[in-house]
Amino acid sequence: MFRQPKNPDRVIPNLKFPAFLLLAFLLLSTCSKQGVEGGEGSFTISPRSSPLHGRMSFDILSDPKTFNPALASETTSTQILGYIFRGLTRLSPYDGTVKPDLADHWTIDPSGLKVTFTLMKGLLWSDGVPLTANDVVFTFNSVYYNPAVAAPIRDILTVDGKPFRVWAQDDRTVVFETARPFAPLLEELGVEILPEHLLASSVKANKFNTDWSVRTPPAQIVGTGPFRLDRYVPGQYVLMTRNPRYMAPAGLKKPLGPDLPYLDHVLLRIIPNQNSALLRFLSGKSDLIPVSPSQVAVLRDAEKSRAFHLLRRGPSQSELFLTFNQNSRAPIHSYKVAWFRDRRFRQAVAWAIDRKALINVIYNGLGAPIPGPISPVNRAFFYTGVHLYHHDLVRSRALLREAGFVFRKNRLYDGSGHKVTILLMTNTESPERLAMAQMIQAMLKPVGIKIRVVPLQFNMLSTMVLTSHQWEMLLFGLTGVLDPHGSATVWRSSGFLHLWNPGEKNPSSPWEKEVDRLFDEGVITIDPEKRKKIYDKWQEIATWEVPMIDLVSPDEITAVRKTLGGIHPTPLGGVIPHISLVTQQARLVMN
Amino acid sequence: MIRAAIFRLIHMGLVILGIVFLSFLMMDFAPGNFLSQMAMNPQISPQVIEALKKQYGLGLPFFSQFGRWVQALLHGDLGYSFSYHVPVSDLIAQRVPMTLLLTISAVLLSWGAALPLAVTGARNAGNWLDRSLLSFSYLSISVPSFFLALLGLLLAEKTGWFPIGGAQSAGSASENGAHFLDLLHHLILPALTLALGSFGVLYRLMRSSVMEVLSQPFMVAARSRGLLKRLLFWRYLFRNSINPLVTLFGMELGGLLSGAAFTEMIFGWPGMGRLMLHAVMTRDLYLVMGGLLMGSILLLLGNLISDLLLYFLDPRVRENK
Repeated sequence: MFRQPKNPDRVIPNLKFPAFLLLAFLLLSTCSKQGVEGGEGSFTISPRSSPLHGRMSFDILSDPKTFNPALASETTSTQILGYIFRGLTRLSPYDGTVKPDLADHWTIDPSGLKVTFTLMKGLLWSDGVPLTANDVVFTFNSVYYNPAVAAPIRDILTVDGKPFRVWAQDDRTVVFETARPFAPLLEELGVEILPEHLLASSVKANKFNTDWSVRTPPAQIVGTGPFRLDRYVPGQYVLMTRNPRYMAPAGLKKPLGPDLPYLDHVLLRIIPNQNSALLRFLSGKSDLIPVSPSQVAVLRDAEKSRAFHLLRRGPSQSELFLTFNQNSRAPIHSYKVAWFRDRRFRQAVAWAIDRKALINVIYNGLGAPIPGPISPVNRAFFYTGVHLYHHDLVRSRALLREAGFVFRKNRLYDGSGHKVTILLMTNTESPERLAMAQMIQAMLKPVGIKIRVVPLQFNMLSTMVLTSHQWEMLLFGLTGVLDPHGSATVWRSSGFLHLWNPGEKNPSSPWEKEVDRLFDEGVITIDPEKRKKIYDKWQEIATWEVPMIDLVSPDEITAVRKTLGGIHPTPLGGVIPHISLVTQQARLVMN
Repeated sequence: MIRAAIFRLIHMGLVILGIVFLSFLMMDFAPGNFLSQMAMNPQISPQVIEALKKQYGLGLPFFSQFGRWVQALLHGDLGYSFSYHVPVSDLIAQRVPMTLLLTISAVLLSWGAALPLAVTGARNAGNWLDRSLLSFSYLSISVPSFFLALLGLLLAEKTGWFPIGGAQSAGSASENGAHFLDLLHHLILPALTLALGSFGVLYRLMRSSVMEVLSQPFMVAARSRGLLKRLLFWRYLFRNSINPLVTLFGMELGGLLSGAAFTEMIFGWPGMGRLMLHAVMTRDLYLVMGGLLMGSILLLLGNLISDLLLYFLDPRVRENK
């Protein structure tokens, strides 16, 4: 059965409408059924063999841009490719620890320089060809490390700009060697493995950058994931069908039998408008939908009468922060740079911000303050001893006075008599950020700081921040990563996203020097406990020096139809711990 | 006449070149490019961005970039989309039929309804039908199309009569009658929304034009001679009142590709508008240029066609030349 049963809870209003409309309606409702059930062609599903089989469907905002995992750089494509392809390792959605995926197990050489992976036995590509260690070697040496391939993820697979050495020992054994110990190695080896037998020729012919595009026939796109691409209709939907040759990763619990994945199909409808997507969910056309805090009120009322529940997973990993331009070469007034370089000034701003109010107004109370550069959700690395800033204007004023600022008629002046007026830039694409910038403007008024909000279009803003450095204060977010080493480009003084003072030749302050040292040490320390200590120290410094004032994060809320099983809110991986365990029959799953 | 048409065609070519040059220039002036989004990603280094820039030819000076594009264009090559990694012409060819299906049905609906209603309304000016149609057309002019579209979706959700968004039920991909009916079912709401939006203008324009012609002395003369009603209507009334609408028709032709963007977004209709909006937002240079080129060609063609129509319909235009 392809069409979902009509939602029994829906009440069709008893309206009197003109007869011709009724006629048209009858005509159309019959023809739509034909359209769905009669004209299915190749994928009419035979009568259900097991109650597990079925289809999950949800809406995505835009079209996938490519089906080539090495080229994908935006989330729609990577989300879809995540169902079709797998890497050697995967991350646990519960605590972020590294688990085997294609690998059966691995051994780490005592030097910390060499990791030997043994692949699972009997792995097959979805076209039936066996997957061997040669595919892994091909994926790294001929694709990710190939300078002719436009792979945006190449950087995470290098140490000091040097690629890993990768070779096959036998069909099931592959070795990775790094020039120096590289702690996040196992996590980074979650990148997708590609089939040599299908892609070697296009790499050789230098056509890889246009291969496996959205125009490629779906049957030619071959992976090892739980699903394979069945059909893509541009602007309309992506349909994925169960990969019968899928081998579940070692150690995955299979509560309903070994035959994974349980679902027959995953259908992603491309609906570019969030309101339309919400209406579709409410009328039973999709099975789950992410809900923004402002939509929760609408859904709460409907939750009782309709067959879904709202799952709240706690704060997301997204990072939203304020930062100041500390770059002495920047084309802004040097006295302003002097304020921004004073730790007490930055701390005073941090004390003046009322995070509770931000959460209540912007996220309807559904959010959490983020104390430092690592979100509390990231339990493996969050340091509980970070310096906390809550709303305390007395402290804020005291710090400003200590730093030599004076208050005159409710306005703040620095030691040489300049009024403290700051331009706060943020990007226009996010209405939430704009509202937040305005609230911050109001929050800094009681400490005499005048903020002028400058909303800019994203490209404009990024040019001003990264290229011309013509900015004073910035409200911005960056994509978060689990391993703290992922923040190295932001926190190392030489990093290109060291926003407050990018690409320093030498650290311009002792604490930046210390942070540099910690990041250098953290990446080569393999022992998890020692490593955690190193990044604890970094979080301590980061929250004391506050070059970036971390603000708040909205709660992640997902509305899920009650029929779906295998659903469980996880702090890091959404409500689906593993896609292959989802079923359309919730009652079968013991939670 | 033929000389004039050829002259017009040459003129059109120059106008298109101008449009294309200016848009290319503006895309170049605007800060950032397709790679700016990546530049803010902590996982992607400036070296990789630099390498991508070279591969995409984004680092070149403006004139060589533009020159290359025009040269390729003359060979029928619209270039390559950065985000989809496929030729722009493929992407546009995929979307154009769907947009045309939507906009042409909407044009047929609105013209098919507005013209006869306007004639009836003008002949019975002031009665209840005319007055209610007039107020309806005010409403149609003043309600923005995206709002109408949202109302349409709400109707679909509350009643379940229509699908909510999309253009096809998943799975109805085989080419047969059922597939076509499924498509029609999805088409109704967006086409109605678009048609309602343009109904008001059409109705009011046609109504006032018919009323003006009705009051002309030649109409009185023709009627007093006792001409056949049908002849009177087609040859005298309709033909004389259609002139202002012919110009409008040319403009509607120009909007066939780009005029439905809001409606497409809200109904999830897989057309050009959505593709272009996304392309502009991600600064997918050649895709934007390809879309602009198609749009401007259509606009100029629309104008040409409406002028030609006027030439054939109205002897006064012919004599002026």
